[in-house]
Amino acid sequence: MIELFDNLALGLSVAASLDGLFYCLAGVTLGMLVGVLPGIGTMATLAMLLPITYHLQPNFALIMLAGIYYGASYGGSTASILLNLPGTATSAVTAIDGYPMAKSGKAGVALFMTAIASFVGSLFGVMLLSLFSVPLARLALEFGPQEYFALMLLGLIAAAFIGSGRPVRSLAAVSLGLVLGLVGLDLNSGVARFTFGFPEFYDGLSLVAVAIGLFGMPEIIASAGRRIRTQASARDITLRSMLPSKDEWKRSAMPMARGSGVGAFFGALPGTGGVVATFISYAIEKRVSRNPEAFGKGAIEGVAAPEAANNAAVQSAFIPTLSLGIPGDPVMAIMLGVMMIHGILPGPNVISGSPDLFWGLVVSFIIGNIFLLVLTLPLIGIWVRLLAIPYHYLFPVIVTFICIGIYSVKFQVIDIYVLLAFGFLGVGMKLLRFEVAPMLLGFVLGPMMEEYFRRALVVSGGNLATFLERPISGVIMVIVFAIIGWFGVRALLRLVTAGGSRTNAKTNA
Amino acid sequence: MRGILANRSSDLIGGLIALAIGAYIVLEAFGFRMGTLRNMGPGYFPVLLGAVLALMGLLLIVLGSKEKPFGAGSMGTLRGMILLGSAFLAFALLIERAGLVPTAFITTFLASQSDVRMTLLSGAILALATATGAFVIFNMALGIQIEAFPS
Repeated sequence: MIELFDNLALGLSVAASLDGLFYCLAGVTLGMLVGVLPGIGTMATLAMLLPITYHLQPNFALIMLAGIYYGASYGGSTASILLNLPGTATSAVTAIDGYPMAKSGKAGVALFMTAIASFVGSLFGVMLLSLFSVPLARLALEFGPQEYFALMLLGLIAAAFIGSGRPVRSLAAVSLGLVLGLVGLDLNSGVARFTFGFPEFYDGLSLVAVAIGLFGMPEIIASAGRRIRTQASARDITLRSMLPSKDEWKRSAMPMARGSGVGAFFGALPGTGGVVATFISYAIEKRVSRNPEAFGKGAIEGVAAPEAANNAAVQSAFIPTLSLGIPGDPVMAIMLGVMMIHGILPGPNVISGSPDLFWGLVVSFIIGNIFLLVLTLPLIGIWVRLLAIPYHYLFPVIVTFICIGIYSVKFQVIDIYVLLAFGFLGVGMKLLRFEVAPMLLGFVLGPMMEEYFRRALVVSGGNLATFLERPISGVIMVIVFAIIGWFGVRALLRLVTAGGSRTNAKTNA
Repeated sequence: MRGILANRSSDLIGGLIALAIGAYIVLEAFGFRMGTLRNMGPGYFPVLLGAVLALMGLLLIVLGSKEKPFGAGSMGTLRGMILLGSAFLAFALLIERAGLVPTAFITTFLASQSDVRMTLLSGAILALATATGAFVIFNMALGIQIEAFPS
């Protein structure tokens, strides 16, 4: 326990330094901003700001990027509630009850409760992060390459099967992503793989260009020319109108607690995360509620629970990322990418090797969440007014800054072509209903996975059963096979029951 | 273009593309040394992955429904796509020749014209503002080593 306080004190010295506070505030404000504005997603923003973080110390780079991530999950609900237009995917559930509340004149209460629920959920997630990361990392020191390979496989399989509704497509995307991660010189043999003769590709494709191409470009292309209706008026929302009644407080307390638990659980699991957590916590609230028919018509429980879940998941997603070096979603993959760029090898040694980085991040989460509470509650009017900024003034500027940012990382023109190529790939994948998130996950994990796979088989003398024989990796592999088996059997059953007609046989393809 | 595509199933097209890319990866990776399971060469892992990708492509082709509509929704306009694409191309072609300020101006201007609501004048004003901002942020504040103007 004393150790924990020492660690938190160390973290405080990083996060509460002038630089720490500045980058934390900058991160959460930017995150809040993009969360509020529909049409600019978290991933796109993170990717756009990546180039700047090359010029920062890794501590502050991560503090800022993380701030954008959880800031956006606060802000995402604002557009959800006021416009029925979720700013982020995780806030889609909030619109179900938040928007009806806004329509019946309770927008202020909904926004207030959202902020409180987000705060509660976040703190719960941070608490778990600070309690479980150290023991988990200690356990992970015993891990051999088999365990790491198995864990990464579990993360990818979970992302492909559970995180998305289309396992076949997602598996294809994951495989392609893994291969794209291998582009460059193979460190063991010196062979240049998939470089098409460009020496610029020898140390791999630029993470920034790939990430912005896949996530940012489809958003920009889709949004250019789209008219976003903005009807929310800031006048309706005064601080007084935001305060919930005693009854509303009472009705929200338990949903918040349950939501935090559900969110923290799914957030920490590799491959699932905020979106899954919000849907499940909403379903739970509806089930345990005494009057489930109120849901969808403005039940405050339906706002409080998913918001707590969403933010708890955002924070607990850092547990596997920081203690094992295994990212659960693309945002975490970016975080790991940034660590690697700064020469920090992700894995269980991060916490013991750079305690200032880990604990600085943990404390910055607490500070950032307090910032967000202040940013949201008294200043909500400003954010609401921001919803009225026409997007067509924003995106040309974004395009130019993306280009400069990517170019400034390595001063290679070819990175712009990579961006363009991945932009078209991202648009094409969206058109054909492939998800880009599992692909980016694969891209970041590719080189690590190959290395662990190789090492595991060298150690075991070419025996594939080694993945099953070791207890921890064996258990993980069984889970992997169970997931594949369950979905496989389900798809087969559906095929059989559909008889000859294939029309509806494979809705999951 | 979308008219022709829309008649085909996205499962079929996606499956064919996945199969083709997977096959390409396998063929290309066979060109590297395979090695054995015990001592893997640079070709081993990519061959496995290419095979998985190709297999998923096959599954999509075989199991896919014939009438699934596209997941398009909002793909923007063709004009938007071309102008946006040319904005990025212009940046790539100009940045090492023309310097940061002219490049930023042209890139922003081209990108702005992909939206029908932007007039030539408002696009130019926005582009001028962006170029100035880029100069202040990247050249003056961050001190990044890009020439501001053609030398």
